Amino acid sequence: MKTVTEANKSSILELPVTKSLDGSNLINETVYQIISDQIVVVQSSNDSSKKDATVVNDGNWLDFDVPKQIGLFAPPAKKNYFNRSQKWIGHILRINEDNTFSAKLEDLNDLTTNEYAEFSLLEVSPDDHELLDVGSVFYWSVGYENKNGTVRKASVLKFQRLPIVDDAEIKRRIALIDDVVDNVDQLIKKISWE
Amino acid sequence: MFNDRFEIYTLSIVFLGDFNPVIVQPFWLANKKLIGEREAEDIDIKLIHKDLVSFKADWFTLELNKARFEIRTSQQPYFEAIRDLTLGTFKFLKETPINGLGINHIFHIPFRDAEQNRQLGYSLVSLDKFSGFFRDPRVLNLQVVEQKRADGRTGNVSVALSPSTETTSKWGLAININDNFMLAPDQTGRESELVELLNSEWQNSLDRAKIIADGIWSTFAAE
Repeated sequence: MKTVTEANKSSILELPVTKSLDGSNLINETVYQIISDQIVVVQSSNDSSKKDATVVNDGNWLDFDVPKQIGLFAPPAKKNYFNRSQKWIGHILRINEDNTFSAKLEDLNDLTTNEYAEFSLLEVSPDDHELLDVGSVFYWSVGYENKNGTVRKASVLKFQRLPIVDDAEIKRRIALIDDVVDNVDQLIKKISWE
Repeated sequence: MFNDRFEIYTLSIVFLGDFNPVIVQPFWLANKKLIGEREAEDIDIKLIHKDLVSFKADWFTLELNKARFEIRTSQQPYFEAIRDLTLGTFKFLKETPINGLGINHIFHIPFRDAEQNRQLGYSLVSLDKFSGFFRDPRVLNLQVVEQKRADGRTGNVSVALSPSTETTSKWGLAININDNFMLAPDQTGRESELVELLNSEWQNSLDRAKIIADGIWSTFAAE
């Protein structure tokens, strides 16, 4: 029987814990480790009455005693999530001189609804500035962000990043831009002054 | 409305196939313009190894081993972005054989107390049948599968209910809906069939997950 010691342990990646209906923690923690340059998956337990666990190492089954885990692992990561969001997909129609851009928005919850809006360039992440162009696609969401337990209303703009790696994709993008330009033309024709 | 009930919605995209994990690193993604350079610099790399790559950005977590690719997020504004990142990655790796796709939706719902949690179990399972040999039987996990997909595609849809560790309440339920697609008999997996399917079935999968979760919740709420 081969014993895995603390010295072998490194790079703990994941520590999901299954909670029982009475709120206490059960077994079924999965921990990835590198042991002698081999990645293994350890199924182990927080329950001190369950001392033995099994290591799967390239098909060889090894038994070892699980050391007490409490305190060995990093504390669970803070939960960050974003919910109750309203989402739109946007197509840039025009980039304006006053550091704004105009866009057509499709409501992702109701694809039959189109809206038009203007956004400040300040809302665009620095990484996404290179993607700003007429016809560019972005996702806009407003909702509630929970970051490390603090909840706040938030608006998120994320530009679409899809590579153009074939002719069919290039044609599809050109057709999309044509469609956007046509929509702008139609919109302009509808505008009249009384 | 079920939309008001769940606290966290985690979306995960899984491909099964034959991968070379070490290619997919943050700076490779940035080099291919699939993420920004600053984003790549800020990524928390947990492990880069020939057999397993695992890292976490602000808006997604990616893990890839030789047989499984998974990207996930609990931030709804980025659901489409992780789909695009997956599509983009495998447009560059289009020779990669892929034989399974899972679009997994996990809804975490807080309960106000243990009694509400217990009632859900009673509403879904005939626990009376256990009362002859169990004192006060309870449901811990429940999994139901639709073996043949209703849309005619190859694969299945399954739903698993289990206690959630993610909710702010001590009592929580996780509804885990796995929307699984496999290759059709005439497909090889070497022509990006399932990558295309991820794109074409995306909205259907989101709609399907909401209908299933809503249906489960309605069954419970009607009791």
